[in-house]
Amino acid sequence: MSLDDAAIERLVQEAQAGDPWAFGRLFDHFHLPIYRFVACRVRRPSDAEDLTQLVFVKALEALPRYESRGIPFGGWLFRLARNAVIDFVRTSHEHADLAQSVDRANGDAGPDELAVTRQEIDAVRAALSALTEDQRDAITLRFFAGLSAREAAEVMGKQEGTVRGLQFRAIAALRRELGIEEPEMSNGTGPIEHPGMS
Amino acid sequence: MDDQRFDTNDPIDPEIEWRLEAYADLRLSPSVAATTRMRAAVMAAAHRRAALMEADAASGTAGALTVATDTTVIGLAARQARSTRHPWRRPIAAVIAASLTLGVLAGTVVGARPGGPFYAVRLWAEMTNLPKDVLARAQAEVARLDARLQEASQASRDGDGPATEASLEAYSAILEEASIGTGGDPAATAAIENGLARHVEVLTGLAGQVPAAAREAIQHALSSSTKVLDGLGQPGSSGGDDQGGSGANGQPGGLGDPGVPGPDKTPKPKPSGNDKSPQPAKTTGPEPGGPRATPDHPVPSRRP
Repeated sequence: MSLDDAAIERLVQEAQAGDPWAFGRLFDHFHLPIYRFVACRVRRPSDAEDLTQLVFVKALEALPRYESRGIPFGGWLFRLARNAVIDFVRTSHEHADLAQSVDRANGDAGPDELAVTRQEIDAVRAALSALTEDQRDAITLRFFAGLSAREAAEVMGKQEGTVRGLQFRAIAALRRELGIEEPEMSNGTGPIEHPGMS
Repeated sequence: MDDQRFDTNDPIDPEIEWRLEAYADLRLSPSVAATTRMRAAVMAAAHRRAALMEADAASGTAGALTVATDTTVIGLAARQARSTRHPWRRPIAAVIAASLTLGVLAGTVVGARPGGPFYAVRLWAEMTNLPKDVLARAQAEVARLDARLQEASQASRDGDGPATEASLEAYSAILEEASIGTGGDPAATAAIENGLARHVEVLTGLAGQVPAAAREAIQHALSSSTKVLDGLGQPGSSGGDDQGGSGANGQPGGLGDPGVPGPDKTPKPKPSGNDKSPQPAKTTGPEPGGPRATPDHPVPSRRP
């Protein structure tokens, strides 16, 4: 489902006015990135499910007080998610443990394919575990949650350039961990820019 | 969001992107069942909020809206009930609360055991609810006397001396009120007499069984019963107190027994309001509302 910013704002206003259907559309649009963001930081899928649900209920409670003020609704929602995860980790003394994430096997894959996929997935998981927390946050928000650099920066409370730098270093680390060679930049855009590294 | 994901300043090789996507799809995506559960819970909360907003708008009350985080039916019902506010809601709630309090208090009083802290209140409540009609009142008094005897018997069987004593004292006091309350009405007098004859038998049988603490009280009750029976048997008598305004032997109680409590010793609290129980005039003359024995209204047999 694709919604532009104007459509999201319109849905937010309708939800603020008490339209459950509008809030349902917002849930449909945001639940997957929120779940992914949460699932990266908690051990069990059931916890991710509970926290995602909690984030949306909290959003519903806080919706009358929400004002755009330059912060997109998505960024506001991820802040709620980030705070919820921090609270959860603090109270449950749980740390993000990617190595113990529960597998959700691909039902369509055959045994061989599944084995290869599992190896690749395990490799990615190990590579992500090697990142710093900020780098992992940047990757999570940018790639798993699909936020723009600006939105990710708002959620993380950092400058956009800083987030770009974190992302760049995270990708470099992943590449090293996964044994992927640096690609040739053949599209004429020149060498890879190192944002936030100056 | 996805449109803004990779801009020209964010080059990324397809291999990394593919692996991250695969990882997210396999490990970081909720199952269909999980998505359904989450959506159902969130939509339930959204609908509750909408219902609250509608209710608040309807009642004209402004205020912060809160959304239940619990998804229990009880929580939903409570919030829906809270949302249906009306201007008369508070007075109604106050009346209901007062009624409940009174109900609980009444239940406590009605269930008060003899000798208990609420026993006197119970007796007083019984007395204030007596009917105004003389005959009906006499029958009600007999019923009260029956009840006291039953309480005394039960307490005696339980070996509860104080309760037996309290029941029998109450019996004596009620008996005195009852004899006065007949007002000389033949039918009422007959009703009292019939009841008392039965009670004397019961009391006689009970006399040898009651705990030591209640022996004096049962003797007193027996004495009162026989004397009231005798008093009712006197021509023109309207009860024990009519045996003489100052008592048969000059005692204020009027029943010849120094230990017999007078009407003012009835175990009843002093109500703040008016005591609705009729206080018959202590006269020996004819009662205005109660004809004496006349040729047209002969007094029934005084002793069974």
